[in-house]
Amino acid sequence: MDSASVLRQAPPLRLSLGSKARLAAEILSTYARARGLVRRADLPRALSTLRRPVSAGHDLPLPDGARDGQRLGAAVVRTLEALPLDSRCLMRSLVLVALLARRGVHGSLVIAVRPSEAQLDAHAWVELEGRPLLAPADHEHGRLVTL
Amino acid sequence: MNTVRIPKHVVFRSFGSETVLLNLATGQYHGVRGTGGRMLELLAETSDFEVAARRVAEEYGHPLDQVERDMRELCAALAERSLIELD
Repeated sequence: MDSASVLRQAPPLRLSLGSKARLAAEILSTYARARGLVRRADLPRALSTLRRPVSAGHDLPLPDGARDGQRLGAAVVRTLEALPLDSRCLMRSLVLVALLARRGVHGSLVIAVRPSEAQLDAHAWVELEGRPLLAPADHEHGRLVTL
Repeated sequence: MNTVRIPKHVVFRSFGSETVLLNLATGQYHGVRGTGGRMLELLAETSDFEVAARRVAEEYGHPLDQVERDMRELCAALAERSLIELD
């Protein structure tokens, strides 16, 4: 086994306290931006704006969007749930899409629904090349749109 | 009413007896039940009200004038919610 394969198999490094704080700040500022956008614009426009990074992403915590996507998703969920914010699936997804965009990765927002007699149940999550980065809908939901 | 168009901001999918529409511009979900879902599918496919009505009448074995009446009502309700555009 060469050193390269050892490195590939190594578990992800823990983030330093400073990196965690910077990531939380990035998530919160992105949340504020996303929330403002969905109030002013429709979903496709809000998404398009969030995919245009506000500044070049340098020295970012978890900088590799493709590799770190699930960790970023988990960080978004933890951060939004810890505060009295809208931590529902659509807002989580919008924040994650923006974080991925800052890291040069295009995450797809998926919306699925499950019709029922009583109430329609909808769920949103983010995928990267078909891989879910946030909890996807169960098999009873059907995909409605991927944006 | 001749031409019916589904705007870009509207997506829909059929789930058995119910068709769910999402208006991305408003974030609102809507449901259409029964033959209404098939009418919507055919309207999206052909964009032509009369062609779609003839297909529905054939498929369900209903009189054409009754289908046209029902489809007009459906189109008016959908247009009122900005889910389709009529010419």
